[in-house]
Amino acid sequence: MMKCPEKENLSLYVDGELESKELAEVRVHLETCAACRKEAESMAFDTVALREGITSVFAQHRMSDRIMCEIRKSPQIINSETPATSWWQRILLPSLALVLVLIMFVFLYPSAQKFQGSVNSVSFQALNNESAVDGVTALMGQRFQLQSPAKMSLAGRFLVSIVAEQPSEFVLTGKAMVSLADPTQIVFSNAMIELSRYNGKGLQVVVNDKAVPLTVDANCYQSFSSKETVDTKCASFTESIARSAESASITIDVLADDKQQAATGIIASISQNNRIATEVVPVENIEQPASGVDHITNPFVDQPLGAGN
Amino acid sequence: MSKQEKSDIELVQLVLAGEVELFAELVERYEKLVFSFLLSRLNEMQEVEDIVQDTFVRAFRHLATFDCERKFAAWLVTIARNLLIDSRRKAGRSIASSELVTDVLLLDSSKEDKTQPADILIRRERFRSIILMIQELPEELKTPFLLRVVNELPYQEISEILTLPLQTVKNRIFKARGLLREKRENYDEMP
Repeated sequence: MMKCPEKENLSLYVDGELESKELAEVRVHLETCAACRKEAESMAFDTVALREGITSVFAQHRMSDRIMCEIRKSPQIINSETPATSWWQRILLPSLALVLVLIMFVFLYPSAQKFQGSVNSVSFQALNNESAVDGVTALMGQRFQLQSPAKMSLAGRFLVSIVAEQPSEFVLTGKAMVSLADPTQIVFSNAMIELSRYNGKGLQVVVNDKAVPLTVDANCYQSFSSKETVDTKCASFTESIARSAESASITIDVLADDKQQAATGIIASISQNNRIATEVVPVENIEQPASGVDHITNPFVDQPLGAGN
Repeated sequence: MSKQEKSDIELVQLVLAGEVELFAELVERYEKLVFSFLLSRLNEMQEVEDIVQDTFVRAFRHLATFDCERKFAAWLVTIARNLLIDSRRKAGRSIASSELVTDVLLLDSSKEDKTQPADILIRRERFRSIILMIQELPEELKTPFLLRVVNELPYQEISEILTLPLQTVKNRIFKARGLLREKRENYDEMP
């Protein structure tokens, strides 16, 4: 008996997508291999059952009449052609508009501090097309604001932006329920996440009250999970940091400057009931950064989901 | 020439020339495809219906901007996807007042009709046993799988509609089947 084909070929066979040579080979094989024949028949049966079932549901939820009724109410198609304009309307006016926008930008927004916003502002930006918020797939680049008291479920890879006196950003990979418990506390619960690649002047991680600095170059990340041991993959972490997640307390402080003076803090801690809580600490006597924080602009295009998934 | 013989492009051009009623033919051809696409991405049936309707109404209003080099189905899916983004920005609807997609799929398939032949009843029972498993599949697997299964689209066309490489479409449909088989085996093993 011929060797069994790759299971993928059986899937292609059921869908009629095999080339003629491979199709002939699979057909001959199925005449003699009961296991593959049963597998192919099961796939085909599922396909037909799903098609019939969903088609039946679709038949009861058709919208064609409503669609045409709506169109007939106002059967105008928007004309894509624009009326003829003179050269000065086509070139000069848009240019003037651009200059006006630039002037407004310079005089109304003189410094990056104007964009810092409030301490309460937290947003999540999907970093690939496979991330979901509240069970619905988000598009890459789509941004979601977290506002108290709403809860949000995240699954995938997100750029988390905390806009505060000292803004910071980190990448979250995995799954978690997120909520803003009060204006200064972000709570991750039922979480299996990795945090990595941040932005800001400096980032400090404290594990069980022991502070460990993360530098921009280190590219370190930690996994937080109720089932797995906290695993630090950065060479600069000491062994004492690797503890079970149930007892670990992780604090992430966003620092005001390279001297690592604690200013605005984002604190994350895992308690024994598997909750990760963060809080943003208001600033006192911080030094202003020399330049504004540069936003990470989608650097993680279409990367696979992290180990936390 | 009958309506069925006209290509999508011919229909678009006739509609643009004023034969508005011919748009119904395009709706007839692609409503199920848009429905299947949205079914895999939304939890509430009302929202599926609303976005299906809005997709076609918007396609009609902007028909003059349709690029005839593209597939009409791919353009519709793009519109549906953008409307999904818009709907996320709006205030949330009350979940209590809207049927969940999963509930609708199970309820509609459980309606007994004793006049149906036995093989149809058997397939309906199979549908009910696997539809929950399908709904649990990851979005990236569910969409191409449903487009293939429900709409019987060739893989090449699915890859053009979802703007995915052909091999990715093959892999995802294969993975969806694999996961479905695993779930079914685990389900069958339960006492």
